[in-house]
Amino acid sequence: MLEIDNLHARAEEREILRGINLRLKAGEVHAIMGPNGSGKSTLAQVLAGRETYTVTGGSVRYLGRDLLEMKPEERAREGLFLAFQYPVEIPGVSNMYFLRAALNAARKQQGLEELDAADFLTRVRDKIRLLGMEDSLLQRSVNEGFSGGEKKRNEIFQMAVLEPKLAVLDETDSGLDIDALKVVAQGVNALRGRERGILLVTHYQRLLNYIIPDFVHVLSNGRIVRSGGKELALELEEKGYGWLETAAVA
Amino acid sequence: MTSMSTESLPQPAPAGEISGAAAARPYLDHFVRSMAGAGAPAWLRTRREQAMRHFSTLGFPTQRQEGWRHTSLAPIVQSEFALAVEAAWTPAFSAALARLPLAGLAAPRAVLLNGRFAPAASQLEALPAGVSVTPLARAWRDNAAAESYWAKLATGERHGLIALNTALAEDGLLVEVAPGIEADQPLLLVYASAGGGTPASGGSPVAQFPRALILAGRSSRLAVIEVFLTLSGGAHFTNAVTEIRLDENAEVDHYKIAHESLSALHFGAVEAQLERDARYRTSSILLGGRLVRNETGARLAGAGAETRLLGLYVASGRQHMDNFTRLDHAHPHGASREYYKGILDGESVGVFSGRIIVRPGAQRTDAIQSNKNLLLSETASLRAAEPQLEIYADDVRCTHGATVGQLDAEALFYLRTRGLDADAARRLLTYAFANEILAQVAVTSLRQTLEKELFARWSGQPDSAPSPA
Ligand SMILES: Nc1ncnc2c1ncn2[C@@H]1O[C@H](COP(=O)(O)OP(=O)(O)O)[C@@H](O)[C@H]1O
Ligand SMILES: [Mg+2]
Repeated sequence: MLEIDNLHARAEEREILRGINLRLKAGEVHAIMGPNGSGKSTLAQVLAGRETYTVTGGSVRYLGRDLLEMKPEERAREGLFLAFQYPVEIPGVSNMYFLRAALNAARKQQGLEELDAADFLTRVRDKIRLLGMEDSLLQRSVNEGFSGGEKKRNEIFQMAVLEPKLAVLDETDSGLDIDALKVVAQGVNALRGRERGILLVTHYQRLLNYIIPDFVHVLSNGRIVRSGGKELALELEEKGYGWLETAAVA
Repeated sequence: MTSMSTESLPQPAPAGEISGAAAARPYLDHFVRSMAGAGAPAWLRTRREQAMRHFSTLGFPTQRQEGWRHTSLAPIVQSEFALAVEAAWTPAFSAALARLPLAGLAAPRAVLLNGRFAPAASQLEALPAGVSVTPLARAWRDNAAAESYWAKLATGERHGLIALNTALAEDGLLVEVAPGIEADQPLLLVYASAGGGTPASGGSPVAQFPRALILAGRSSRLAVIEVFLTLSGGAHFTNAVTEIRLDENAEVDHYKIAHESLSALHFGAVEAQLERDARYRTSSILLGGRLVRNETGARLAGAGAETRLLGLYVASGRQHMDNFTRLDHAHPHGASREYYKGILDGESVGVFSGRIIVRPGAQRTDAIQSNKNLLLSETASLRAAEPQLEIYADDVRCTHGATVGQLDAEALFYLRTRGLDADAARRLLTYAFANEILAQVAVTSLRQTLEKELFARWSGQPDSAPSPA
């Protein structure tokens, strides 16, 4: 469902992604690990269509289409979801309105009827419970004044409601205590399925105890320097990233 | 018989130059013709004549004058208006009013048509106990409070437009809240204009001079909403003055919503005086009008008085909206908060200038002023004057800040990654910017109406607004 070939991207004169190759099939969970500054978020943002990054080479195909040709909102409506490492606060817009607008954008695309506020609430009620969210979180402004954990949970909640085909989660586990981590993992595992793909970007191996990946890739300095099965994560946990970084530069 | 003739007035400047004074002529003539309110009590005649004298000396403010640099009154000065056109209330007006959600708020309401009380459109049966609303034309004759306070807070001595209103207002409203009364319902004052460019006005646009005096008694409480609307005719000149006096420990929540037609010219002044421990909150929301100059002044005339000024101005096309505020701290321990936000699109121009005066002895004054603007197009502009601080006391905290910016790129992207198209995302964020002010509107029905109105303006969706709880 996702084919990344030799992807290069830069921001302001600086090359950040330097030839990424990755193939993710429907039903698979891939983890991308790597030290800070290796380009994990850049990759996630480029996949979502962030305009601050310029793609200077390579290609990305998503469900058979040229992803890089699509606007961010088209990608979203075609089922691509990015959980942000740093979710954005939007004072003045209720979380509830925001989510309903998002869901209705996708439904419109699929030729489905738009949901009004009441229908929407009925539909999302069990997802709220699944993620142990306070109902009041829906009435508040998007992410405004949310704790770090609440913001991450809110991202997963959005994902649960939107039911994307491909979810890219950018360090959704960072900064969470173990209970919150379990909740997030539960949300992700609930989404797992034969027709869905998940790309987990993480700095720590810990999350992978709860979401077992099919493949693990290590990103260093803008390139994937190693790929393997879930054991690779454990190896990294033991040895750190140092040995791979030196390998990458060499 | 009028006690004044044109001869006793200073002569306007020679024709040719459109100075404020030359343009004053038709108003003077009208004043004389109308015999300055023959039959009015002597005190009123004196005050009006004085005001006419001030107007003929001062004329219309010009851009050379302090506080007027960014706003030209040429569209008003150079137009001919039919003055104070008397229009009967008609079913068509009722129908027009019924279409305007702001006029339909569930609250007792008084309606003025072209500045005159319109009993047929007013609904004052359900006024809260202790609150009274009297047409000024009557109150001038028999209400001692009118004599004590009318044209005392907004005198026009130094302001041609306020002077003009004082000279020419033929009616208006007196609102009184008895001491100790806490009104459990807001009061709605609707200022409707009609008849511009119609046979009733001889084809000229109408000028109207609505006036209100609000007297909140000791320890009383009232929410009052002033709404300015155009019922027919489009173009008109509104010159509106509202005076509000808060007696000791009184609390007034005041809203002014200017929502006239896109060809209306609007000058408005709201002048409040706060006695000891009084609390005054006012919100000026400018949505309509081609040229709007809105002045909000508060004088903290007793110790411990508190005031909060909110402003929201939303302009597009060629609208010009000028906000002028003046906070006058005259006693110790006064607090003022001022938050103004502007959203400017098209080729519109926004102006903000805020004056803060801290008089000698007004120690421990605490004043905050903020002005934030969102520019939605490259051709819209904001002209902000440097904050004018006149501080004559030393133990004072005064902070101010002003920003002009565009929509946050990161928030736009975030919304787009959730499937909203770029336009919808922009409109939502624009609404969100305004919401910070709307959220503070304490009258729920008014807040919801404004939310809907503004959300529909940007989204084209008459749907429920996305405001957080
Ligand atoms: N918009 C940007 N402009 C300039 N440099 C950037 C930008 N975004 C990321 N970078 C730089 O690119 C590198 C990779 O960043 P990032 O993708 O955020 O790494 P990671 O998520 O792996 O920690 C870092 O050195 C970062 O400073
Ligand atoms: Mg990152």
